[in-house]
Amino acid sequence: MRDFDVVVVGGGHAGIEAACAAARMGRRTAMVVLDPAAIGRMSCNPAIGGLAKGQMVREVDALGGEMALATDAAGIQFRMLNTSKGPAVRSPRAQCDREAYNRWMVLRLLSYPNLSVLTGEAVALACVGGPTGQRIDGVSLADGTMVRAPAVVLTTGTFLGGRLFAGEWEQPGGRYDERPASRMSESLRQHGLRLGRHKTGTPPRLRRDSIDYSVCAEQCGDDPPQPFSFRTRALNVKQMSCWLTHTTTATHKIIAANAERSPMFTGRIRGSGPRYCPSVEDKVVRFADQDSHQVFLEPEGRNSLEVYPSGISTSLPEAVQKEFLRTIPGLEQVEVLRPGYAVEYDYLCTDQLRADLQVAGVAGLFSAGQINGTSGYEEAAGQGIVAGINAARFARGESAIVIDRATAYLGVMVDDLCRVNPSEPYRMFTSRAEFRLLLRSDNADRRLAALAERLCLVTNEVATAVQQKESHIRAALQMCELRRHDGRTLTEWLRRPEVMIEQLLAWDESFAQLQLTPPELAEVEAEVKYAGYIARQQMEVERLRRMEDRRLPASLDYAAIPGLSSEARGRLLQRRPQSLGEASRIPGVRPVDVQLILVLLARGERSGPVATVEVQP
Amino acid sequence: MRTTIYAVASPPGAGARSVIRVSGPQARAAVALLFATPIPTVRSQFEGRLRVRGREVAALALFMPGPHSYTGEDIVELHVIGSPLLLLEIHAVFAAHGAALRLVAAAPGEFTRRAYANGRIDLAQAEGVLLMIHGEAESARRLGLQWLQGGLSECVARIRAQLQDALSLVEAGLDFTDGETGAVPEILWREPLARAIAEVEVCLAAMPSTLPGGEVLLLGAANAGKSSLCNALVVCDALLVDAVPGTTRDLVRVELAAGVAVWDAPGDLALPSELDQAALLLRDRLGSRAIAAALVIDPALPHVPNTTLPWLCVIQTKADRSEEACPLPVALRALPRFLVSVVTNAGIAELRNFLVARGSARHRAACAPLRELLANVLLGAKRAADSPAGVAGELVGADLDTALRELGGIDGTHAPDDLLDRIFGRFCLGK
Repeated sequence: MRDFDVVVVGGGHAGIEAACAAARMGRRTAMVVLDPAAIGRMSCNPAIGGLAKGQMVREVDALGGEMALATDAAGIQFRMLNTSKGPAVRSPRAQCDREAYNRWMVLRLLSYPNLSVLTGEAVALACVGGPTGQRIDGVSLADGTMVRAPAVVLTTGTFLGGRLFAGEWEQPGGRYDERPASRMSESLRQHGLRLGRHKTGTPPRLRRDSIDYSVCAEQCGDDPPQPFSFRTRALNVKQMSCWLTHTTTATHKIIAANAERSPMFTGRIRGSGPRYCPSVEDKVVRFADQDSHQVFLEPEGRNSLEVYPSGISTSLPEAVQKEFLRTIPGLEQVEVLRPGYAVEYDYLCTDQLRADLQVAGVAGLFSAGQINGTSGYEEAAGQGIVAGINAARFARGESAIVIDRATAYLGVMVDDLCRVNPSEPYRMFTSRAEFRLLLRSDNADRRLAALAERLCLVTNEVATAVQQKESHIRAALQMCELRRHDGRTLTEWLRRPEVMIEQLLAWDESFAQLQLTPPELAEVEAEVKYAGYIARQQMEVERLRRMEDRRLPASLDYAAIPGLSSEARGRLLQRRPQSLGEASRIPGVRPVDVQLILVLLARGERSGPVATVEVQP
Repeated sequence: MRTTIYAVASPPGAGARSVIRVSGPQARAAVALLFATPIPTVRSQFEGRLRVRGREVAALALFMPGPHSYTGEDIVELHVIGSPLLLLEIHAVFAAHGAALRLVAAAPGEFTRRAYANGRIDLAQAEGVLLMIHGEAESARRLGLQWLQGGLSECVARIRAQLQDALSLVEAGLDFTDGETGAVPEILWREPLARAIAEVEVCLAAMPSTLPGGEVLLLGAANAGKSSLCNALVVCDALLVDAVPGTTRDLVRVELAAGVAVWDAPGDLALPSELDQAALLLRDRLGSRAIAAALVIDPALPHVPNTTLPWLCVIQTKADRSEEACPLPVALRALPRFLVSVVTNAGIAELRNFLVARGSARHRAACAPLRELLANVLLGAKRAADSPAGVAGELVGADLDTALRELGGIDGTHAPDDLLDRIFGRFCLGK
């Protein structure tokens, strides 16, 4: 008798989605955390979403996840980014009340059906050896307790071997004032897994009433605000503003003079940090010709005294941080509540991951979030839900669920992670998605509805609502084809860049009478305006899916395929991929190797069993 | 197990020296069938004696062990005196004893294909090889050499750099908010895009548009009159003609028009000798370069050889002796039929026109895959360039992405990380 079906280690954004997904699928799930009050705590910027990230939050939401609901509940400012650009690259972003977000998640998780939250430090994997390799059997806690389960998801964030740095100051820690999880790394190594080291950073927190907002530019939220979750009908929120200021030449002078005291430059931090989230000392040193950088002053909450200055993450000594902050307009008298710091932590080299986020070599062990070398709450949540779903399936002996690159950013991310071991923390960008025009934030629910329903991740009401939305959109698209205005069909009009869908409502009464909701209108507009491009991308998707789904017979004799590089041959023999898609994701397998296998398969279909067929490249 | 392939790598006919190239895991073992001298196991050039039918002739061999060879496999090159007869004997030995070694005659272009498959050359270089071999004009051969040396790959790399430059500027505007990047004026991406388009156009224009490909193989019984017909078609006596059946042993290519040629091939013999049989094997192999076969038939001795090629037409010879249509198998009855006589020249001009017309229509476009890829690159790039000012960036991005992916088919892949590198190199980003 097992204690649980699925054990999730960690209660951050990845852990929450993993545990809740498994619990929604009816598995007896345990979440092991160092401190239950810290579930869903935002380590850095109290904001959710942003370009490409907002799309992922909507995808997690479409699979019944928690992140978007929490954001709608705790948001204090909502904005749609890139509204001047097309619908495919628009993304929602929300500023949250850090306390409220954390509180909402704690309450939610403590009362989640099928989910038990256990307090303790997971210090080691428990494995059993099988004829085909080791298999997970649970985790052991620091107090000696064993929590047994056939599937374990590691979502330890920055806590594995975490060390904090600011100037010459250095101490073990996962987050400011929170201890790291130091023993698990050793256990992972003992089980033959390779770890790398990444770095990230956070800015100092400022005292709200010590800031002079009169010299800063105000940035308001959208009116009306758009909810994050497809399940939120409307937002009734009094929004708060963010404020914009900038660094000055005086700031840069102080930073440049002290840059060598940053642990990044002294070499005490070995891990590589993200280029897209550089520390302010990095910006000043690398872009010496720029004499000013933007600083966004973001409130940490409705009643919070803390302000998060976005754009100046730093690990300079505390005294230097205070000194340079006071050269920034509006911050002349600023008081620092907590200094900024850099954190360095262990991550699992992702070339050890399979497409279901299972760790190769330990059956039943899954990992998600920053432990997989990514950065960002949204990336973590996205992996969390994929890992949670697959851990739940694994626990019942069911097949893996792999979301492909044409269906969701979640698929793009997991696929990218398996293919390469990123040299810096991985962040999602819309340019990573070759089918970006299909992967919009507005249609995330439609893209994932079938999967969510099949896996029982959403309630029947939610599934019905998506079906209704789908039929409304189909009806509207059909009407646009048929109805005319001034000699042209509505579709023809809408294809013109200058014609917006609101125009059609004014022109055509029948169209207006469909009474589409704003999200439905947005989707109709996107589908029509992108039609030609969508058709082209769809063709490419079909090609990709055909290749992805090509099954590889277990008996396939890779040693007999001429032309395979020896590295590819070794990896293929070791991994024994089940499909061509999986083979193509194995690091070291070149596109030409995939082509060679494809040729072999094609010959095999014409003339008998594959393994015995000779191939001439 | 992989096959080992061999082919004559020198031009057909007599010459100072003939070269036979053998590539594959059993290359050394294959040559050992002929060679009295032991073959070294390291990269080397060595002299020895070739034993054929009990006679010995001096030969030179080069051994190039894989993976550092042209094909990436073990290669042995055998240099022998340039005698078509000797080549046929060698071929006969390989045909007779090669089965155990999985030794087979190479299909056209197969050495290059193996080199490509084994990652020894990229598509651009492979096309260069084909151009050098098949290019008719000196300029085409020069271009081929340049491509083989990586010239095309360099050109593609330049085009890629410009397209990526353009795309990174477009993407920077999409992946980051205006607040982060500042405004990115369109001219910044339109300029490198225009340069890329110009370069693709130059590259396409430099490519010869056709290669010989409209080739027709004349097949028929020995002595049906194929060589005489060839002479008549080109109005000269280039080929040796004799009443003795089996006079033609080599394949001879006779050009009728630019890129259109007929191949005179050895005829089927009633009682072929061993040598004749080897010649027929060679016919079938070389003949696979042709697009179709024309049946040459003498009504006095009707015979239809086997072939894997599609039949193009039926040519009934010796019309000066009999104009009666000779009986044909059902499969051939629907084909165009020509009644010709090299004595009266009846039907010759008509046949020539027909062959030229059909051959031209079936011209294989030169460098077809490369041309198609570049044309697609151009299509995507032009769609992006032709977009009106103020166009949505994600559409320009989609077009440029298409162009880059097509370009990736030529010499490698296009990875989004290359783009991010460019973006981060230019903009100071991140909060």
